[in-house]
This record gives sequence, C-alpha cells and structure tokens, in this order.
Amino acid sequence: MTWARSQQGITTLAIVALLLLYPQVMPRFWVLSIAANSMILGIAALSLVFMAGYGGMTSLAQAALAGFAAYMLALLSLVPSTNATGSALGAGLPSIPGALIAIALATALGALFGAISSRSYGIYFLMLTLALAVGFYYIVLQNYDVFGGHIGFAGIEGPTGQPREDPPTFYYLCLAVSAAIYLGLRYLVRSQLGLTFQGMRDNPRRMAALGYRVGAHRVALFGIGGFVAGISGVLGAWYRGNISPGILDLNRTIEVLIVAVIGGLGYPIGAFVGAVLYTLIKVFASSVTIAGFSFDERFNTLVGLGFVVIVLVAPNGIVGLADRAYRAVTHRSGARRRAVDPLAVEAGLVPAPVAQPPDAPVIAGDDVPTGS
Amino acid sequence: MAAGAPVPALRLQGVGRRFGALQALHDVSMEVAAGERRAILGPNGAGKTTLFNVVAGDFPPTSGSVELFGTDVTRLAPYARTRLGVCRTYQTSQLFMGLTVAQSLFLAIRGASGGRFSPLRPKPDDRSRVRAAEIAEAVGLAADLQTAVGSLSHGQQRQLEVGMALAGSPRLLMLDEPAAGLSRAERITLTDLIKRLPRDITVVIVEHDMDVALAVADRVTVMAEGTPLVEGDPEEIQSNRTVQDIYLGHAVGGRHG
Amino acid sequence: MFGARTGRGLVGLMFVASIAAAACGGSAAGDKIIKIGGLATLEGPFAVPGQDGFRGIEQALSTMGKKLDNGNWQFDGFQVQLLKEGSDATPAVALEKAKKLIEQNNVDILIGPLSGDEGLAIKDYAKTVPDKTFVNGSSAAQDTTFRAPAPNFFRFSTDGAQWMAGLGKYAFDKKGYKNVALVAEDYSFPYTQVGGFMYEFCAAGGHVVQKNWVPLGTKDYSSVVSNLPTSGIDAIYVALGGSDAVNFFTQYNQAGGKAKFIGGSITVDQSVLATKGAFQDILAGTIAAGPTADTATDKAWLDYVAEYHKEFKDGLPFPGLFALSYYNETVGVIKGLQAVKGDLSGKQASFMAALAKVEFDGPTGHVKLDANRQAISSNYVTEVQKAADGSLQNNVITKADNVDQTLGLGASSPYLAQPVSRDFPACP
Ligand SMILES: Nc1ncnc2c1ncn2[C@@H]1O[C@H](COP(=O)(O)OP(=O)(O)OP(=O)(O)O)[C@@H](O)[C@H]1O
Ligand SMILES: [Mg+2]
Repeated sequence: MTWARSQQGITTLAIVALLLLYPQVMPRFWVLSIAANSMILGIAALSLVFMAGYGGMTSLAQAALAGFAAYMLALLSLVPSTNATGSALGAGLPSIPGALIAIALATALGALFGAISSRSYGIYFLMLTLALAVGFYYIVLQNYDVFGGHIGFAGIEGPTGQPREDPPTFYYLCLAVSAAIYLGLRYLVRSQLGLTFQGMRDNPRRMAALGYRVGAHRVALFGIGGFVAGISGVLGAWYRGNISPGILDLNRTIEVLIVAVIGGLGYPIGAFVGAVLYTLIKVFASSVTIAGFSFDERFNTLVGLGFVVIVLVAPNGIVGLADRAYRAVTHRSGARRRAVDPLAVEAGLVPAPVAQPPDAPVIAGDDVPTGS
Repeated sequence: MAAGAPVPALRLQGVGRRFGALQALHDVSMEVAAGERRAILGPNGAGKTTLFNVVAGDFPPTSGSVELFGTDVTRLAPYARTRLGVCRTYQTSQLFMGLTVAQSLFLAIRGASGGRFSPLRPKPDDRSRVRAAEIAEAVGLAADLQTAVGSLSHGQQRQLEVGMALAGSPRLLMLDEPAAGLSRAERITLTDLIKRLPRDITVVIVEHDMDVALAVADRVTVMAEGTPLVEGDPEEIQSNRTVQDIYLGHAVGGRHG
Repeated sequence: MFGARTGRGLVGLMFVASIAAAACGGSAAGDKIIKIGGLATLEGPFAVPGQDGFRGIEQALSTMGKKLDNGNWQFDGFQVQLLKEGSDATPAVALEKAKKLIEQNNVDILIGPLSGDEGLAIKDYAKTVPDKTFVNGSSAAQDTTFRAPAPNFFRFSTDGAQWMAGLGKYAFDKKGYKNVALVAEDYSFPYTQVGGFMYEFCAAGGHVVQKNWVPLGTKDYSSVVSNLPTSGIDAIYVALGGSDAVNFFTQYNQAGGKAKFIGGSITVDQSVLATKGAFQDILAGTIAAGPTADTATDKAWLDYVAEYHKEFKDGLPFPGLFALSYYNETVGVIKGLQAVKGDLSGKQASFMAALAKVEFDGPTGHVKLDANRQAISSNYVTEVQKAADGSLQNNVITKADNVDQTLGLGASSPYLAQPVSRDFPACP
C-alpha cells in the first residue's frame, strides 16, 4: 500500500518535472502549436466533460461560450484606435482585469443558457444548446458594429506579451491555469455541489424529491461550464492575438465534442489527453501515408477515421480504455461502477445504466392497461 | 376545519388526475392524521402510485386540492414539499447509480437540511456524514457504505430507497411497495423498522404484502379504479366483503401470492 | 472516478511520443533538396479553389522541371520536394498549418495561402521567421504587401484592387456610368475590390452614391433591393460571390429592377452565367474585371490551358484565378532558385535578393515585382455578351498591362491614404 503510494507519488513528480522542463527543451512549434494549443483546447473540452460526465448535460454551446469570452476580452482590453485598420471599439482595460470580467461575463452567459435549457433533457438539451451556439455565431458574424463582422479583432495581447516572442512563459501560464482548473474541478466533484450534479445526472426526479431545485443546480452547472470555457476562450485569444467568428463556428463546436469523446467523457484528464491526441492527429495527418495513399489533401478524412476507430474501440475514450486495461492487469475487480457515457445514452446509442421502467407508462392512451 | 382540532398531516379534497382519456384518480378525498400509520391497498392500476405522485408534486392534480400540515400545496414544486417534510420511496427504485451508498444518503440528508450549493467537501466528522452512517446501519447497509449503488443487490437497493426517504427527516413518509422484491428476512427487518419509527412521523404505505401492510397500519384505505372505496382499521378491512371481492381475491393469485 | 492513475500514465506516454516525433521532424534536409511547403484551402467553401491552387504549383514544377519517381522535381543542380497542407480559410488554421510547415517540417519556402485574411495573418507571421521565404498563393488583400510589408514575403500575383484595373475607367468613359450604388459582402476581399474599382472610377469623376454591405452568405436581399435607389443611378456595382450573386440577381430581377451591373472578379464567373434563371436576361452587358479571362486568345494563355488539361484529367474546365496565381508564384520561386543555383545559404539572403529581381512572361502577361515585392502585371476587362446560341459569355474587352498596386495613381494619391474599408475610399 505505502509502496504503491510512493510509486504513485514518484510518477506524479516525474510528470510534473517533465511538464515544467518541456518548454525549455522543445522547439517553439512543440511548445506553442502543440502543447499550449492542446491545453487551451483541453480546457474547453474539460468544461464539456465536466458538464456531461458529472451533470449529464452534454452542452454543444461550449465553443460559443469560449468565443464569447474571447470577444468580450477584445472589447474590454483593446485600445480604440482612430486609425481605420484598428478597432473603433474597446475599453482599453489592462489584460488581466479585462480577462477577469470577460470570464465573469461568460459565466453569466453560461448561466443564462442554463436557465433557457433548464427543463430540457437528452437530445432536446443537445439541440437547444446547439441552437444557442449557432445563433450566437450568426450574431457575431453579422454584427459588424459590435463584433467586427467577418474580420473580428486583431492586436489582442495577454499579460505575457506575444506568445511567439516568449513561448515558455505563455506555456507556463497555460499550464498553471490548466492545473488549477483540473485540480479545482477534481475537488469540486467530491463536494456537496459536485455530488448534487452527479445526483442530477443519475436521477433528476429523485433529486427534486430530495429537496433540490434541479433547475437552479443546472443553471449553476452551466455557469461553471461557462466559467471554464471562458478561461479557454481568453487564453485562446491571447494565443492567437486575433479573433474572428471562425473561433466559434460549428467546426469548433464539433472539435470540442470530438476531443471530449476521444479523451473519455467522465474523465477530466481525458479532456487534455484527447486534446493532445487530436492536435497531433490534426497537425500530422497530412504527413501520413497509408499503403501508398497520401492523406495530404484528405487530412480530414484521416481525422474522421481516427475518431470513428477510437469511438468504436474505446467507447469510454482513450482514458477509459487505459483505465480498463490497467484494472485488468492489476486484477482489480470492477467494484467501482462507472456511469455509462451519458452522451451515448442521450444519443440512444447505448441503454441507460440500469433500464428503469417508469412507474407507469408516460404516454396515456385508451390502450393503457389498468389492471393485472 | 374546526378551531382547535389537530391539523391533519395530509388532506385531499376531491383530487382527480387524468392522463389523456384515462381518469387515473377520481374524486379522492381523505385525511391522514398526524402520527397515523395508513396503509393504502388496491389492485394494480388502482391509482395508488399516482396518488403519491400528486402528493409529492411530480405532477399537479387536474382537479381538487392537496394540503400538507394545513398548508395548501396543490401548486407547489416537489422540492418545496420536501422541505415541508414530505419524503417518499418509489415503487421502482429511483437511485443514483453512479454514486455510493454513503453519497446517496448524504445527498438525501443535505437536500432537506440546506447547504445544497456548498462547493466545499464535507469533513469526515461532518454531521450529515455521521447521520448517513446511522441511517445505513438502520436499513442494514452499514457494511456497504462505500459500495456503488449500481452494484448493490436488488434487495439492498430497495433498502436504500427507504433509507434515502428516512434521511430527509420526514414528517410525512410515503412508502410505495417498500417490501416488493425483498426476501422474507428482509421483510421482517423492514416491518420492524417501520414499526419502530417515532410517532411524530406520519406514515402512508402502499403495500401488496398483507403481512407487512397490516402489521404496521393503524388504518387502511382500499382504492379501486382511482377512488377510495372503504376505510377502516385492519380487522374491519380484512372482514369486509367488498374488499375481499375486489382486492384480496386478486392478491392471492397476484404478484406476491 | 478520474482515472487519475491511468491518466498519468498516458501523459507520460505522450511525452515520449512527442519528443520522438519532434526529433524525427528535423531530419532529412539533404543539401540538394529544397523543401517547398504548399498551403491552400482544402476544407469548407474554398476547397475546390484550393485544389486548383495546388494544381497551379504542380503544373509550374512539372513544366519547368522533371518529375522524379520519388515524387520530387529535378532542376539543374537541385531537387524540389513539395509538402502540402490544407486550411479551412480561417486565419487561425492557416497560421497553425504555416507554423507546422515552417517549424516542424522545416520547409525552406512556403507558397500560400489562398484567401485574403489568411494572407494577412501569414505576412505577420513571416516577420517572426526572417530566414525563411514566404511567397503568396492567391490571397489578394492589399495590405499583405502594401502597408507594413514583411521583407521576406513575396507576391507574384496581383491583389484584389489590381484585379479591378481598367474597370472604373471603362465604366465611366465608355459606358457613361456617372452614378453608381454598390452591393457587396462585408469582409476584406470585397473591400479591396470595391476600393480598386473606386480608385479609377472616383478619380475619373464618378460617384458611388450608396454602399450596401451584406454579411457573407446572405440569402434574403429584399431589404437591400428595396433600399437601392430606383432613379438617379446608372448602374449597380455588385461584389458578391457564387450563390450570393445568384440570389441577389434573382431577387433584384423579381422586384423589377432595371439597372445595369458592374461586377467584381468573382461575381459573374462561369458558374453564375451557367445558372439558369430569369435573371439571365438582365446580366447581358454586365462589365467586370479580373486577372484571368476564359475567352482570352493570347498564345501563352492557350498553351497554359492546354498544359493544364494535359496534366490534370480531373481539372476544372478552365484553370481559374487560383490556379493561375499559385502557378505564377511557383514560377517566380523556381526562377529565383535557378538564379542562385538552389543555394539558400546565408539565411536565404542571396536567394531573396534574386527573387526580388525575377521577371517573366506568364500565361496572361509580363510579371515583375515592385519595391514591396508585389507583382506588377496584367488585367482584363470583360463584358457579358449573348452568344449566337443565346448563352451568355464573358468576352474580353480590354487588357491592361503593367498594372501596379496603386492602379497608376501613385502611392501618394489621397485614394490610397487609408486602407480600404467599408467607408474608404468614398466619392458620394
Ligand atoms: N404518467 C402517466 N401517464 C399515463 N398514464 C399513467 C401515468 N401514471 C399512471 N398512469 C396510469 O394510471 C393508472 C393508475 O396507475 P398507478 O401506477 O397509479 O397504479 P397503482 O395503483 O400504483 O398500480 P400498481 O399496483 O400496479 O402499482 C394506470 O392505468 C396507469 O397506466
Ligand atoms: Mg403503483
């Protein structure tokens, strides 16, 4: 036991050391384009993993919330310029206060989305959040005066300056934020609030009967989702230096979903594992040649194929697969039962954990049996 | 209600509930006095569970009114009724399959007592955690505190159902077929548990198992086709011809017979 | 619940994998092989033009060099290896792909990207890697080279304003249009096109009395149509692409509009002319301008088209402006490489110097660079005319040669005092 513990501690230490050393030894491309980019994407995916895995709310609005925070950051922190190339808008706040307000606004918008969708479950929730995301995308795209239309805003700079001028510092910023969010959510999962979310995920009706206002808790969870997604949006804006509606279009929504699913919904670390994997596949797919067939002009096909294979081979994602393998090797019994992938349940792909017949048929009709 | 008369725990007046063309409840009027143990009997489809759902607030009645401890709750949300002291179990277990027994009971306790939005982890000596262990003990799950609900046996899940209802510090406890699916030994434990409940808890129990129902009940209501037919004490009911015709006869060949 | 232990294992594995991948990414740059990265749009609405852009690169390499079995091209004294990457037309993705080619694949020269906003992003990036050479693809924003240029960014294709050369003058002098309203998509490429048109048109004395900017992908033009003046204008300048143009023409025709049209470079292309609809009647007489014209008859152009068809059986009916742009950029690169015999030493300084001096006769005319390393080249003015069989055709009216980025106005012209935008230039 103690041996296992100390071994675990050593692994953790080694990984922390590697993470800290990484930007010192790796080239800029690997520090920024792969690592920082993955962390930013991973945080967005983590917001979805947390909501879906611990609250049963598979929100498709996370990319939009991240994008919203990025736009708010631009509007708050850009310095308005009379020069026609610059933006006429901007409150000129320093980057950190601007970021904090932007994240607070994303939290509020998340809560608002939560209020709008608090009574929707399953596929209806999925569709409603998708509609909110797409609607918001069009508002941004078509509103030249506030959001800069198709072009968006440029010249956004974070507290560490241009990331490419000082990759390690920006990397450490992303790492610190990722770690804080990850550990924070890990803590939250075992808190009263976190247990409430999981109760809601498993059985909202029972939660109501136990005295919980399920709607209010769903609003709170969506607010947390907005908070985490907002942080990703702010880091992303600092990373790119500019924002345009492309950062919150449907492609990004799908990207966040894919990352969450390949990492494993229900495993927060999976968001980051999935993000790294996704980024690597995306970056290197065009260099792949399989049986003489080069994917350079068809890299999306390869990304898609990879996704399908992972979902088929590992329905609980890469971390789920590794977890199972680990248990098999160490002969740990599956005593701890894991909730089935809620997304798959919602999509009707797999049955709910335990098929629970309702007390009575929900849809009334003349043919409803009335006796034994 | 005459002044000075004790306030009933539950009072239904002309309650009806319709599902499309089906009138599941029809003109139900009844009172359950505070501290009473009331059994509700009736054949399958009589509307017993629907009655519980209306009282707990899962859906409103389509006619009539519901009063709990003198307060009209007809339009009140379920969580608000729980906070008035209504706790229930379900005919089909409604549990948290991804949580442990301890976590489930903890949620049940905190649901009624507050701190529901706390982002803090409860300390090991937290009052709610201690209480959760006590309740697990009472319903025979002391050894399974850290077991995932999904890997409990059916009987254990039924016991957890009861435990979660008790955890809400009920003033009115509604048990919907708590003994269904339990072994003989488990039934006896359950019966004892209900009997030993303090008298400030009002209990309404729906139960097909006569041994359990009649052992705990002070009074019995027999329902059929959505409406109460007869009310009386256990002996009266057992000897009542109508009841024997419409219900007990069925029960012999029925699901637990 | 967290799979924290296995998660840790995976994170460790990823380290090993990424370090291995980073290590092998840097090898293989043999002394005689020059790596060229090609970047075009392969996803989204510009996927088809993106493929045509790559055809342009490959056609230039195959015409000027010899394709080898290993997939490279042999030139006198050096080989060229081509690595392709695709973007989705957003600057963010284009930038990621460019970084990958430059920083991970270690290409020496990058050719791309395809669209204007991507080009601006790549130019800014180019400034941070001064020892690599960036050559444009087909992106046509003015400020990719005109304002704050990058010293290592070259463009052998013309920009969206140059694509309008000859049109404003022709509209004012020959067509007699004095007052014009405009309908254009609300992003940088139409701004540039509108700007190029207005440089000549306003300078000649014309007036643009009303500007209607619509979001890209607009389907319902009823409010725009009703907003257009019914009298007092001689023509409507329309800078919409593809289905946007078809939708606008249809709805304008249905509302009984009678004005003549002036088109941007992608407004009345073959796809719009070939779309059946009642609006066809009102398109005859529409004038437009662009760097290519399907019906041009110069020998160089006909040879180029014939080669294109020989090389690419699955190609488009005509190589479009995307293929031509990438083709010209690649020709420029090869000529530059030939001038230094493939020698990229000294942080590519001598290569870049040679590249800036490259001149050649392309399929549509002579190409040379100005001081900002921006092409000075030819442009066509076309008019939609009814052919004998009743179908519509874009016929060449005039061809302007040696068109520079200011359309002959000079860099100090007040019309170029500001970047093009919704509101600039203006001559109401
Ligand atoms: N949500 C609902 N939607 C439609 N019909 C319902 C619903 N709930 C109950 N019913 C119908 O109402 C009638 C009464 O059902 P209820 O579940 O209350 O009976 P019960 O007395 O609890 O029977 P059992 O002994 O089988 O549990 C049945 O015919 C049932 O099909
Ligand atoms: Mg029932």
